Amino acid sequence: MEYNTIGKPQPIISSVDKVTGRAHYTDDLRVHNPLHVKILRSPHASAKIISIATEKAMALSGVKLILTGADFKNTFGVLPISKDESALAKTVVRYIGEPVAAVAAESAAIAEKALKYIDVTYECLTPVIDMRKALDKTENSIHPELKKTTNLHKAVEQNFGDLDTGFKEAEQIVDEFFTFDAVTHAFTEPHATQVVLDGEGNITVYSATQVPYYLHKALAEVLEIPMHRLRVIKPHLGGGFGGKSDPFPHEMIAVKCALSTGRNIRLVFSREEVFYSHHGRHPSRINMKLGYHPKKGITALKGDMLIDGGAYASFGVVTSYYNGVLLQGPYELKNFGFHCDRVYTNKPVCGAMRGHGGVNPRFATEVALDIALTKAKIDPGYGRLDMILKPHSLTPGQFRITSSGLKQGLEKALQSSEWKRKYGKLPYGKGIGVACGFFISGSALPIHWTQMPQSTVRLTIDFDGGVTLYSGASDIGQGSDTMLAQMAAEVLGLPMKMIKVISADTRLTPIDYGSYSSRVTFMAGNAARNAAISIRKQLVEAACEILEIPPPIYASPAIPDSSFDLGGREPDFGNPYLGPNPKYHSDGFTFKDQLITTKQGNKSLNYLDVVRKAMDFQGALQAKGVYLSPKLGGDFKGAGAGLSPSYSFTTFVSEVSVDTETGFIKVDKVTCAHDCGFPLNPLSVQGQLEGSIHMGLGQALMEKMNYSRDGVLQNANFLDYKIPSAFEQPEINIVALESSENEGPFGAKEVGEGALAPLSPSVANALYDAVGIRLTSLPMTPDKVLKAMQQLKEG
Amino acid sequence: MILKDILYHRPESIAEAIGLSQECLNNGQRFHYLGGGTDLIPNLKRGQCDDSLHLISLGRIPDLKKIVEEDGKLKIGALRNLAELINHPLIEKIIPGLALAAGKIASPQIRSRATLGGNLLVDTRCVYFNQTETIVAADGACYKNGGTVCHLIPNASGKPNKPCRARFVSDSAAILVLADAQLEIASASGIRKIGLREFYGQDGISRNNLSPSEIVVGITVPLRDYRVMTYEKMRLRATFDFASVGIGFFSDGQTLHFSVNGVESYPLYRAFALPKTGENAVEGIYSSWLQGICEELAKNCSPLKQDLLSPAYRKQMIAVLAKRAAYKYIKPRSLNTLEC
Amino acid sequence: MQEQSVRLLTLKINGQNFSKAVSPGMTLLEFIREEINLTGTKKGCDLGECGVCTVLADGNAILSCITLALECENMEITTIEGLAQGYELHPLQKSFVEKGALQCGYCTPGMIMGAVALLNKNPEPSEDQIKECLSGTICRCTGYTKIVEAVQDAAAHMKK
Repeated sequence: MEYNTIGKPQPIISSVDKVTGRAHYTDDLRVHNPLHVKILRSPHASAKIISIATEKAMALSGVKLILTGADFKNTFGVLPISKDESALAKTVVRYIGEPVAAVAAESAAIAEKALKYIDVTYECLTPVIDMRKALDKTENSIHPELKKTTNLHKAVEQNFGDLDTGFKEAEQIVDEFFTFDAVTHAFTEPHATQVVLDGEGNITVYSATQVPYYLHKALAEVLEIPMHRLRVIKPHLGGGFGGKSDPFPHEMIAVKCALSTGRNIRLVFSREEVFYSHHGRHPSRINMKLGYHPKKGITALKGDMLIDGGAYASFGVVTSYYNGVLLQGPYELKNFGFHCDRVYTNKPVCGAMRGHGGVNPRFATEVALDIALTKAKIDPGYGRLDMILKPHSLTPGQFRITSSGLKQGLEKALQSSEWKRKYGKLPYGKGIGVACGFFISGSALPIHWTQMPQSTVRLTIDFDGGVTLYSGASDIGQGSDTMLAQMAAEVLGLPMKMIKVISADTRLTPIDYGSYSSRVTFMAGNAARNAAISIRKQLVEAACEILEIPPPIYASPAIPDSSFDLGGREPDFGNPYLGPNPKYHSDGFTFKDQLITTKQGNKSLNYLDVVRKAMDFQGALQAKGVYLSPKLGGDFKGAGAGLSPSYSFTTFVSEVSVDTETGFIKVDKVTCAHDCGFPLNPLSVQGQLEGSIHMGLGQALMEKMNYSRDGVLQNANFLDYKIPSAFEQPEINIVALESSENEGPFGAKEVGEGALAPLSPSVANALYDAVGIRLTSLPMTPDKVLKAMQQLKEG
Repeated sequence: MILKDILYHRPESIAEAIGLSQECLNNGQRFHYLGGGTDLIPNLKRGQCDDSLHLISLGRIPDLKKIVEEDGKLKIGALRNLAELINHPLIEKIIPGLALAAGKIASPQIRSRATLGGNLLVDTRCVYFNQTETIVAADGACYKNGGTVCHLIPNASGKPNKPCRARFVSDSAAILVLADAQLEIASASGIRKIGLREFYGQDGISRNNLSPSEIVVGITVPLRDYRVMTYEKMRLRATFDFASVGIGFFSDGQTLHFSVNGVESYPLYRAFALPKTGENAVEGIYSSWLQGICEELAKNCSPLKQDLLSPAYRKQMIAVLAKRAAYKYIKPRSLNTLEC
Repeated sequence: MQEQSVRLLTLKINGQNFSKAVSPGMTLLEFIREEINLTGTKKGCDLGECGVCTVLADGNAILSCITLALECENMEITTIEGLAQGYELHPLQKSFVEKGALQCGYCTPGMIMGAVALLNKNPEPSEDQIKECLSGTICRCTGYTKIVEAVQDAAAHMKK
């Protein structure tokens, strides 16, 4: 398929602004005469707040307002079922770093100074730090409002098929226990929020958020402001990865300060505060039992997970499900079950982090599978080929698998990395390992249960011919604005520079749920594409008028053969929803290079002339496009978790060198195959894969939130929380990206999250090939490697 | 983390600098000399020093940055920044091991401002000390932070004089103690010299024998053949991180000199005379002897839990890295002198 | 001794002279962002541990968040805003754009300034030398892969 812009490397559309320093991130905005807000945080992991004395602080010159928990009545949380957070702690503090009071002052220096004059009297309680202790019976649970006798937040269990029979059929049974330390997103831009008031009582909130729509709703609810008075705008954002995808206490605080003082507000976090905000990956303890038979594949898979949610709920209920349901791929399973307990502890909140809940269990499964294959003397690379989920199939939990390029991807990765020549044959200390994974392209079911489209995009074209695209989708650095522009540019045959994207402004842009669960390309991309097709229809009609030919007769979309084949049909112009990824080429015209040409090629019109004709009698052109997930999945409890209109599939083959005297692992090369359907922008796709490898490597080798036994975070800084540097990045070879996906826009699926999970297990499996040890705990620091090697030697 | 209540001075001579510090001392006011600031400023921001502080900047005093070969010695001005030191032809010629070690310090941008003197005087570090005010409050202030406990050594007896085990982290010191370098220290009474090996104390709080208003102005390195010299720096990342274990090694043909950085509260220095070998020497004498002294080196060290890597591992790595450093130059089968 | 809680700072930023009263505790980063309102230089950690605040001081890449403004008296500071000549981008800026060497872009000014210092001193750096230059700035989005390519690309263009 010959495209205008799709499939070609596109620098992201804001890149010139970013390389010149013109791009404004939230704290770069200069609002008029703001008060600066700083937050006082709890030094105790668990304590009752006995009293807060603010008089001395209020007496300081320049201090205008001090807020405490008493100033906030309503709680909030990203999931409607667990709104357990208050902007400021009310009667208890539940983690070190929890916001307790906030000061608004004329300067940041005064606000910071005033924090020291606030006197908080605490009565310390015994904190629960170890997630295992959280399951003990207690009279003083962290969330007594749940009326539970332990600190269990959520228990999830699903079972499909018959595990007993499955294990009986196995030739190899692997039963292994894994532990995973806490890791965090560690984006370089700290959280920031600025608030601007106008004379009519309208409140504009600029915030570093992945979810402007959720934030808007939460602000209205918590502060009891009519929604139409609020406007949430996301400026350029310096990285999210799930760490900016909740409505936050500091955002509530900032708006409340503005309302109470009548002043604009500026609030920005220190790096330490970013660590306290956290919302990172749940540390976990996972038991994975896998049954394998060379002729039957995985005969049974049972996961038992304990995940540590920290002090509040955040996305935790979803995380609990994802820990299990995301094991339904990428291999065929008949007998599968899991049980996941999420517990509260007195530590910073855990939430969604790139790969959300699917990462640690993926490590456990890929290592367990590797153990089974090697025990059965089957090549772990080629041996995985026969087990892969087939395209157009259903998983045990009724995930609808449509396209899958995993088989070709795995083959290409094994071939390209010369697996056969290397596996089991490299000198001691060098090894090669493989792992696979899969991930959702957005959740088919939204967090808030409505019938609203998952994404809505508006296009307008006015007299200058420029196309303005309005979308609620949040570009958090992943390049979604560019992707949206590509949709319009492609369908309308225009250069990218003629598309202006206005995004993530809740006054101007129609709802998109936000940038999380890898939904934006698939859902907002589809909506943008549909909007472009609708506006193209208007241009086609105008072109026909100019040419004095009859307008095309649009065929209705054919009834799909099966639910696996819903996309790529004629657009349903009779309905507001045109359908997923509809065709648009049967309208008799080619749109290319600002020319609109009949298919026969005999008549060619200038795009601007057609625009002007289309504007006769109706003025500016507008169109709206939406995306609706198809109705998917089963009817059982939790059936919705992990349901997605499409899934990505990843293979990593990692090659490592182990320093056998020190245990240091160097990942020399990673060969990657990631089925993203179709790479809309190869530069962005490669960038996501390279970034995923970096982040996976960090968790594999060196990242961990270092909590003391009393719950004190010892490395709330970038020196001691170790993000890999340029020296640690391996050589990367990307070998396969495509499959025949018919519902994603131009066949595209996600690439933002799926490629993280298989990285760590591919390194762990390579470690086994290199020195014969199996590590079952992340991060795999050199001391753990060496200890295991020594234990192996001692037999 | 805004630095408030700082009073700034930029003296134009050493005498003026010392005069300013003495005035502070006489008025009971706290002060710090400021070199590159790459260690001091982050520590100040974390609130490790009181505000209302006089900063006496040494950066514009001439003559503190010269690198010359003079009187049979290499003389390095204490305020020369590490980036320039690493590329200086005299360093390359005389003691390339120093350039090697300095090149592993922190990051390129930090090396642009950090000075050799500053690195030799870098504060000792501990997971409980190098923390923000919130964490120090949560943990309880340790001795080094002006408190009354040590969290690192369990069951600390509560005696205020309990030695602090905040660890020494200067990579440049690990090399310069091998060379038996001397420090030139200026005070109101003139210049005194002290060998680097004697300069450091055993305690993570008192650290060295510098008096409050003294300024380290120069480092003198005796001219010797330093070609057989190297530095092994073990850390999780190849940048930014301080040494989990750092081993300096130098051989002058008769003695093997080792230093251990990142473990004790001072740069541990040990010298081992090469065994004399005769006609009846057994093949492999060097390898078992070398193994022995490397283990001996590790025996004197007791790493504590101040790092992501376990103390037992780091203790093991002292011997491993020492051997690795030595084997860069020593062929163990040689029964005579060293082959380099 | 003269006790001054505010001092006059004179320096050049991107070729323009400034003379402003600053409090001694003000870092160069705060001066650039708050006094001069050049917000291209970013604050990531404020403790010298991430590198996104990198600017050039007399041609050397330094961390502005741990450098006191007063220490830069009479220096020539270059920030990201000082690289392009009007609309004509510096080769490094062009290469970063074309090679996709930025995603969220927050570390980008720091990365580019570090690379400017490198290429000014070493116009033909090896890949290892490029990685060393980049090793002082943390990036969470790109994994550094395309950043290395961009610096190589810019070096090749600047050679011509």
